[in-house]
Amino acid sequence: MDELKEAWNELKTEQSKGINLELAQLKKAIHSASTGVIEKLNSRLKAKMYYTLGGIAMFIGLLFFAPNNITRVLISIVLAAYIIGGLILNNERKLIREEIDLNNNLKATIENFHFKVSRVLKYEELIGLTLYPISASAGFVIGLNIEGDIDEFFGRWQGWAILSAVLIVLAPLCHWLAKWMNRMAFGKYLDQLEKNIEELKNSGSDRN
Amino acid sequence: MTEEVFLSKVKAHEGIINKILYLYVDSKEDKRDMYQEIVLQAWKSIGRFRGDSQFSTWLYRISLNTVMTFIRKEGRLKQETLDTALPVTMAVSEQSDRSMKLMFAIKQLNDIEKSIITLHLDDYSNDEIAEIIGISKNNVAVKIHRIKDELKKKMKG
Repeated sequence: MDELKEAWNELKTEQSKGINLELAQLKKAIHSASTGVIEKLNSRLKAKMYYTLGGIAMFIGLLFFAPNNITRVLISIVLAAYIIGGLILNNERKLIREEIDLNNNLKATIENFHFKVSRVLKYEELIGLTLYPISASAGFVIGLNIEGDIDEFFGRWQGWAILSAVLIVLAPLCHWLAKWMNRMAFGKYLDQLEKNIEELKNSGSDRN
Repeated sequence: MTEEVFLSKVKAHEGIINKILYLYVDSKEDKRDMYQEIVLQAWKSIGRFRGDSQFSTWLYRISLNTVMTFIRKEGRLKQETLDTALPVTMAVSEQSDRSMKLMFAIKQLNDIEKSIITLHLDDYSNDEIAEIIGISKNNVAVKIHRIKDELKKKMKG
C-alpha cells in the first residue's frame, strides 16, 4: 500500500467523528424544505409573483377611477408592462420547476445548475429592464396627477419629454441595479461553478 | 424503496456523507445543514436509483453533486499555513502528523482534484471515478498521478 493510502486510512477514524443524526432526525430532514440555491431563487420568484399580481389588480382598479384619458392611457401602459413582467416570471417559474437530475455525473450536474441559475437571473434582469422603470414612472405620473394638472402637463411636448427622460434614466438604472444585486447574491457561486466546469473541461471530459 | 429502508441505508452509509462534509465544509453548523440537505436530495432522487450501481456509490454521487452545487461559505483553510491550521499544543504521533499533513494538503487542492483523489484513496476504480466525475478514464489516471505527486511534495515541504 502506498504512503498516501496509509495516511488516508489513518484519517478515516477522524472522519467518522462527523455528524451523527438519529433516524428520527433523518426522517424530519426528508420532509423539510430544501435550503439549496434553487429553493432560494424560488422564494424570490414567489415574492415577485405576488408583487406582480398585486400590481395588476391595483392598476386594473385604478383604471376605473382614472380622472381623464391621459391617465387611463398611462395606466394601461403600466398594466401592459406588468402583464409582460408576469409572463416573464411565468417562464422563470417553468424553468425553476424542472428538476435537475442529481443522478447525473458531476460535470453534467454542475453544467445544469450553471445553465439554470444563469437563465433565471437573466429573466430577473429582464424584469429589471421592463417592470421596475415603468412602475417608477407610474408613481411619477400618479404623483403628478395628485399634485398638479396632468392635462396641462401632457398637453405640451415638454411634459412627454420629461416622462421619456425619466424612463430613459430609470430603465438602464433598474437593469444595472438588478444585475448588481444578482452579482452580489450569486456572483461568487456562479464563478465557482464556472471554475469547476473549466477544470472538468481541461481534464478532457468525454462523458455526459 | 420505502422511507424506512432508505433511511436505514443512509444511516448505514453515513460515513460517506461525513467524508464529503469533512473535505468541503468547515463549520459544524454548516456540516449539519448540508448533511440534512444531502439526505433530502437523496430522498428526492431515490426514484431514479436503478440499482445497477451500489447504494454507496450512488450516495457518494448524490452527496458530491449536492455539496458542489450548494452555496458554500468560503473556507478558512486556504489562507492558513499548516502551522496555524494544526493546534500547536497537540501532541501528535508521527502517524497522526502524517495524516494531518495529508488532510491539509488535500484541502488545499481545488474542488475537482479533491473529489478525484479522495475517490481514488477510497479504492474506487478509475472507471467508477470517471463515471461519477464525468471525465474520461484515461484522464482520471493522468490526474491521479499528478495529484499524488503534488500531495507528496506538499506533505514533505
